[in-house]
Amino acid sequence: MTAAAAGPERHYRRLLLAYPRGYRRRHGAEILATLLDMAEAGDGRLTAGQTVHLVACGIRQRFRLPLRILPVVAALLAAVLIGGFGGVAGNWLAWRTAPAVPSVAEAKALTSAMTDLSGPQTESWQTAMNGPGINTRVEGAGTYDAERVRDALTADGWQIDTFTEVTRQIVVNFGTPEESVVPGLGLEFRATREGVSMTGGSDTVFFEDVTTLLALNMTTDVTGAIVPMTIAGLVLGALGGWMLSAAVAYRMRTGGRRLWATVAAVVAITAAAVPAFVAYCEIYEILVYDTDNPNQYITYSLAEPIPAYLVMISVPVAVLALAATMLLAARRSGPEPIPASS
Amino acid sequence: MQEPTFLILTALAEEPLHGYGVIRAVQELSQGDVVLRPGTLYGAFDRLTEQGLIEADREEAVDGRLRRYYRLTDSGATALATQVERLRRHADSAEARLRGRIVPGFPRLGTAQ
Repeated sequence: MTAAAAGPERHYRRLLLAYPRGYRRRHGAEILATLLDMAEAGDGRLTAGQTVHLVACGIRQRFRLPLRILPVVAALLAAVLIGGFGGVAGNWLAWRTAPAVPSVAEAKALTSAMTDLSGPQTESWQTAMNGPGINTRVEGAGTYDAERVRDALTADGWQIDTFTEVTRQIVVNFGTPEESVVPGLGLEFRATREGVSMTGGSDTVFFEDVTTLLALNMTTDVTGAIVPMTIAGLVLGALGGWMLSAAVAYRMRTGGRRLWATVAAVVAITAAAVPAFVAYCEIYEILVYDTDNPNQYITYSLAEPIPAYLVMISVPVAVLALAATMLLAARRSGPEPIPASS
Repeated sequence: MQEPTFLILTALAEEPLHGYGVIRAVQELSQGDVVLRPGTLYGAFDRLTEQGLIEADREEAVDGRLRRYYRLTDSGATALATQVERLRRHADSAEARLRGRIVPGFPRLGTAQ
């Protein structure tokens, strides 16, 4: 090979990377020879149109299935199943780009500073859109002090949007012979800080001793990336599932243990069905989430009755079965084609 | 059968050819009307092999380049012959209809005066 030919050959080899690896192994050398023949017969190089067309054909080859019903059905199922996982993964990534809610330590410190009470309890939760949230609650003997609440919020960097003091009639000793209604003071407020929203409220009861209860609910605001990234993940997952099926079908067509590979593929698809159903329930909740609702919320989906252990078992089984499918479908090693540059 | 497929099978009818040989043969057969691009050619090779219409004949390394030759299978020859017959029927029908075409002010083509 001359030095002059080495340049185009390197270029054509790069173009052939658009094709799936198995296809390149089988046809790469002959396509390369044809490209070099064409280039020599022409002006020494492929035209821009030929180049783009070659790459497009390579990408299309990645999605191409054998002309039989079983691979098409398998590809559709794989696209649906892996699309579900892709959607959940896209949603997870989208929330990683959003601001985080305060940590447990930060939330406790703020709650204590607002009430001058120690030992607040916290609970982390997820909205129906999988957004992070944290609740805190503290109760104890203490006096009502709206200014302390304001100062603590401001000192912690929160922008107070609404802050209302109300008087209430509060029932004490509910359900006992001593049940009575006593006067109380309440506080209701909303605040925001760098993409995180807070709703909070307190009740101070003047009964025997003065007791105060304060509860905060902090959630990350829904960003504009959540839904698009969820959908993008779903689409990419579906395309990936189809491509994976095409790769497996191609390998099975050219050799491998077809029967066992088919059995492993059926196991993989069956095992993936349950987690995929859970994933689609999540995606549904994400897509129908009411972002105009002033309070973030949770909903109960169809996937609720499915025990978590079933999903935890199904996922590794599906992954192992898929790996087995790929191995069993692997083409038997044959003679390597003669490289065009040798 | 699409025109490129028909031409590829026709190109392989006489003797096995390698990829670039098929591209040139198709160009000659179609008198330059159809120029196959490599992506199309190898996609077609793959599909036709899968359908059993062509198969790999042999491989040769020429000047360090691998040339894989493809040949028409018996099934491919039958499919091509069927398509040739179909096209001939269509061409005959078209010709007959053209002969019977009425053009105002002109006598019918092929009609004795």
